[in-house]
This record gives sequence, structure tokens and C-alpha cells, in this order.
Amino acid sequence: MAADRSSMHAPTGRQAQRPRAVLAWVQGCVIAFAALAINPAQAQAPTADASTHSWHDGQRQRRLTLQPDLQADFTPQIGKGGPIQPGPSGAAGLSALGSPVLRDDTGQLRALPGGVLVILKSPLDARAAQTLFKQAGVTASRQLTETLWLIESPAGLASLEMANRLHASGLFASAQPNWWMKRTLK
Amino acid sequence: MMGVTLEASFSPTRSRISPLRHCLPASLRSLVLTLSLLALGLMHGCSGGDATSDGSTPIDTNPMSPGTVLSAGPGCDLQYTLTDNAVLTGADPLLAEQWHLRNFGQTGGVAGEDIRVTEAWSITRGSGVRVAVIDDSVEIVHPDLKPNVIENGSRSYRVGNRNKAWPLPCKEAEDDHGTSVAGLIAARDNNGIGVAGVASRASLVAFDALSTSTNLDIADALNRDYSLNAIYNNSWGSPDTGGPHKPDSYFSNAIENGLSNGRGGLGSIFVFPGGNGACFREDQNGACVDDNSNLDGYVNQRGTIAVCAVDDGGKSPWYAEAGANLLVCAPTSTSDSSRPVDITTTAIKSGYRSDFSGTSASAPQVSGLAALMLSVNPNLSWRDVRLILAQTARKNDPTHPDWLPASTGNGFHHRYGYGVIDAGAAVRAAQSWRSVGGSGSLKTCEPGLRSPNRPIPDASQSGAGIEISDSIQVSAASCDIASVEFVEVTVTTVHEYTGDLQIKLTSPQGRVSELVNSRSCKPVQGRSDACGAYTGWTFGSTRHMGESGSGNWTLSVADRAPVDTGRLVSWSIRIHGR
Repeated sequence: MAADRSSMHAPTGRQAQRPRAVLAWVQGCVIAFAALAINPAQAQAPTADASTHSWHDGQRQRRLTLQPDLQADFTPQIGKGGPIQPGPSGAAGLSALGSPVLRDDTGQLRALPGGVLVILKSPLDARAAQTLFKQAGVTASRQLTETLWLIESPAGLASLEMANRLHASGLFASAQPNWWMKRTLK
Repeated sequence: MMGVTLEASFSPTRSRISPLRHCLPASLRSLVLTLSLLALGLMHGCSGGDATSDGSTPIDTNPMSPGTVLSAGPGCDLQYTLTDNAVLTGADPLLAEQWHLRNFGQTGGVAGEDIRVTEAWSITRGSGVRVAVIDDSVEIVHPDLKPNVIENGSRSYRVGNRNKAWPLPCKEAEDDHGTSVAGLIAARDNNGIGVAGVASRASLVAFDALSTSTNLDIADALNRDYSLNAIYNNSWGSPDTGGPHKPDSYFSNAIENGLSNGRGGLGSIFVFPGGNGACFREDQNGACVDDNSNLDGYVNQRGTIAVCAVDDGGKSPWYAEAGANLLVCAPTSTSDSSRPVDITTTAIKSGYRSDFSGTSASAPQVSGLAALMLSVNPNLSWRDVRLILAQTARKNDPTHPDWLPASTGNGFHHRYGYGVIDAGAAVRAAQSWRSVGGSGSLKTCEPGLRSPNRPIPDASQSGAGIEISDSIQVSAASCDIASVEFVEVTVTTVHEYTGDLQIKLTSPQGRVSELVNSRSCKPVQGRSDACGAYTGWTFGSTRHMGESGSGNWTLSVADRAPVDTGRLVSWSIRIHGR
């Protein structure tokens, strides 16, 4: 079995099909980004009509690219294919439970069903935590773990913006949107 | 053969309607099921329209009384009318088809290639242990599951059914996974119908967090009622594309929380499948997408049990991913298209199926075994469960040349972990096990970051590459781990095509973890390197269990395909043990 599998493994075959121009471009970007200590995974070619966003997973900043031809709908009719469907990503084309779709720096699609997950710098009792949330100008929905709380926010980019604002406030260890992501039943 | 001759569209979790689906007596089928007959507006508890972030709402419980009609919400095809549900007695008619429990050659496989559960059943059936199934849905009213289901212990996250205590399937064509998983764990035994689970008297709850697949709902489900729920079966993971998929930090937060605080500090048991992405045809070029379990950040997370797969001959199916993070295997479908043999278990609509497959089918057998172990020794910590599984596993496919010497169990294999679970041996070991403690007593050594920043020589056309290596010396004074339990290796490379890279870790005892091999990956829009990047990517390894933590740990990196080049920027190691 191992011999069969290894005989099928042909990374060179796929590589041979990559345009050299792309390779050269990637090589240049990799070197440049490495020098700046920036994640090379972010060296993807932005499309002409895409806009970029970012968020923080813990202390790690991650980049996102808006997918202009996709939207996500978090109404009750979500099927096995998930909430993503073709459609304009602009706010005018989204329902109240809709979200634009973004591709992250690993190539995964993400969407924003609403809510922000914040991690406290240290465990706090409920009263102290509520004081902290009031200071940050947000409303907590509930506590998930000793330090993980859910903050209310609408669906869509508003939750990304809130997460980034909370992260930048320095009041929390981290703040990130409640992302929808594709997971696979095995 | 294998991948080359098989269809590209094959999915190990494919759903085929089995003739067994309707083998239930008509009288029992009518017990729980009414399809598409009732108007949604008349249904109990299906107001729908809730937001996705309202978890503070108390669970809407429901007395499972006769006449109640349940559904997973608006737009669902499936509706369930409850009637009297007396538990019958008698042999399980499909038990003989469950070769994974007792393989006597009924499928044409090898007799004895099973999980050896018969001996364990003479000791326990898992009574008193709660197992949570996190999946797309679970038909908790299925007559073969309901006797073991904790009333009002489940929860739905589905939009339109949120906070209800019945995470039922919604659509027949879409929600057929979790019910089959649940049956493998805890279908009731000796009730005169259907099948038996590995822990056929364990208690079941279900969380349909995969129906929304949001970080919030996954995190919530992983820690829900963790004082009561001992085991969380997760027959899901990241997409099997060949690229690294790192969960956001909420995930490690939830896992660590469960390990530290679940079961009163003994720790929740988290079971995940190794993955189905090994070597399948991706396109007309014949390139082999060969995912590795260590590239799924859910499955290689410290504290999760990664379960690999074997067929009815005790060999690895072609789709089952290898990985140094794999702990133990359990049976599942064959990968021989001329002799398809799958797993028999429960199915939606009060039915059964004989076509369940993939590592999704393997993981719940380990969850069931964990329930058996905890039923005879509730004081086992999450670490104890891992150690017992590894130490008692059976060496399957024993003549395979890739078996390696190990300091625990009967050897280690990067496709088989420590081997196939042996339920009888594991339960016996659990009975007399002296605990090593939980998270509180786990030692961790972090010798610091290495930054070699060295170029990795490109491979020749033949694929031969020059290996570069870098070592970390861990002194005994700084690391008093005498017996390693898990190793994390965090690597940063810069490379034009990460799939070219082969990365290994060699322990002070000279034992090698193959962290990842060179491979091709499923194309990703907007990326020239479909294999992603190892930017602070953390690999996990169970391979060094029982070894000493101190000494020289060496990382080796080699480029195994020509053209693209790069460098090893930095790496670090975290050693966990006692």
C-alpha cells in the first residue's frame, strides 16, 4: 500500500503546470515579505475589485479579502451546502441576517453571522466582567468559559469592526468575530 | 491501484440508502415517525426566527410524551410524532453484520480484525457514562437510541430550532451523519431491534453545532455540561484539502477548558477522526492530493484523541490520512471498490444503514470504548484514557514494514498510531489503572525558539533532496519529564510551494516523527501555493509516548520536489508529560 501510494504521489506533475510568471511573482513577494517578517500566506494576488480587511486571532493579525460575488445568508433555510451563495456582497444586497463572504490568508471562506468572542486577560467575576464590558461600550450575551465571553453584535461587517475595535481597546486579551467557517463531516 | 483506479468523486461519508433502512418492524417504525404530514404552524415549539447569538436563552425542554410532534424547524422535511416507546428485549438482529464489533469473516475480511469488544461486554456496557455527539443532527427519538438518550440533555443550535432540546435531522438528504455516529457509540443492545453500540448502555446527548458551523456554537458544544458529559465525539474536522487548517483560538481555548475543568477536573475526553484526505485523484493530471492528519488543527490539538482507520482486513483504506498525531485506529469501510464493505449502524427515519464509512465511523468506536473504560473507573483522567488506549492497542497489519519501535504499546505506525483499539484489554487495564493525574499535574518543557533561518536546498528532478537539520538540546535540569505524552512542534518556513517539504522530528532516543511528507494539494482560488504556508504551524506527535523529555531533539527539513525553493526560518518544541 505504501508503495502504491508513493508511486501515485506526483507533486512535480502539478508544479510543472504553474505558470513561471506567477512563480517569479510569488518568489519576489515571498522574499520581500520574509524580509518584513510578514506571513507569506498573505502574499496572494488581490483581485481588481476586492477590498481587504483584517482581524486578530489572539495576537496574530490575519488578512481577509472580500469576495464580491458571494454572500452568506443566516436565515433558517441553511442547507448542507452552508449559507454561502452567489450574490452581491454589498450591504444593500444583504438581508438582516446576511453577511459578505471573505477569504482568509489560508484560502478558507468565512462569513459573519453576528457576535464577537472576547477573551478576558484574566478570569473575572460576573460583576467585574460586566463593568469591563460597560467600559468597552458593549453588551455581553453570556459567558462560555472562564475567560471566553460572547458580545452581541449584528451580522455582517459590523461584527468584524466591533471585534477589531475591542481588540484595539486593549481591554481584552483578544477579540474576534464569531466566524462561520466550513467544517467537514468525515 | 488504490487512488488511481478509484473515482475522484468518492466520498467516504457518502450516503446510500440501504435495504436495511426499512428492516424495522412496521409497528416500531410508526412509533416515532411521521413525515411531512403536519403543517409547521401546528407544531410544538417551532417558533423559529431566532438570532444566532442568543445562547443565554434557557433550553426549551420538552416532555417526550406521546402525541408530541417535533421538528428541527421551519423548512424541514422531517417531522417526528412521538408515541409510546416501550423498550423491548431480545437479540439485536443486525448484530452479526456489525463486523467491527466481532469479525468472524462475515464480510470476506479477516476474522478477528475487530475491536475485541465481546470481552469488554462481559464486564461493562458503559452504564453511567454520558457521551455527547457533536454533529449535524442526531435522531434522538430513534428507537435504538432513545432508550439511552438523556431527556432534555441535548441542545439544538440550528437556526429556527435554537435552544430546543431536540437537535433532530431537518432534511433527509442532508442530515444523515450524526444519527449513524450516535448508533456506533450507544445504540441500545438486546432490545430486539437493529444494532448495538460499543457502549450500548451509556447515556447519549447530542449537539447539532455543525448545522451552523460557527465558532461560537462549536465552542459552546465542546464545553456544554462538561461536568456531566464525559466524552465529546466529533466526527468532523477541517476540509481535507492537503493544506494546513488552523482553527481560530476559540477552539484551543475550549479544548483546554474542557481538559482542565471537565468532569470535575479529570478532563473531558475529546475524540476526533484522523481524516479522509489521503491520496485521492484530484484532477485530470492525476496529481495525488495527500492530506496529512497533522494538517488538521482540530485533530492535532493537544488533548484531542485522533483516530485512524482500518478495514475488515486490518489494513489502512486508501483515504485514511497518516499522521504522527494519530493515537489509535478503529474499523471502517474498505477502499477496495470491487469489495465494498462498510459499517452497519443506525440511520435517520428510525432506520439502519450498512454503508457508513470514513474515519467518521472509526472515531465513535473509540468514544464508545472510552465510555466503557470510564464506567469501570470513573476516576480516569483525560491523560489516563489516552495512555490506556495506546498501551492496550493491538498491532494490526503486523508485517507492514513501517511499524516502528516505540516506548509505549506494541510499536508506532504513522498510519495506525499505536494500533487498533482492543476494548477488552483497555477495560481490564482501566479497572486497575493508577492515575497519572489530569491537566494539573501535566509537566511541560519549552526549551525556546530556534531561528536557524537556513535555506532548504531544492530537490533534484528525481525528487532527492538534501536534508537540513537543526537541534535543540534539552537538559535534564531544565526538563524533568521522564515519560513524554505529547509533543508539539511549531515550525515557520518560507517556501514557494510548501507541499514540497518533508519535515521530521527525531527524539533523543533516535525515534522519528514524520510530521509531514511532501504532497500536492487541492487548488485554492487566489493562491499559487495551494498547500498553504507553515507560518507558526504547530504539528502534534503522540509517537514519543514513554520517552524521556531531555536530550537532543532534532528537526529535519527536506525539499522533495524540484523548482521551488525556500528556507527554514524558525522552530520550537513543547514537550508534555510526567
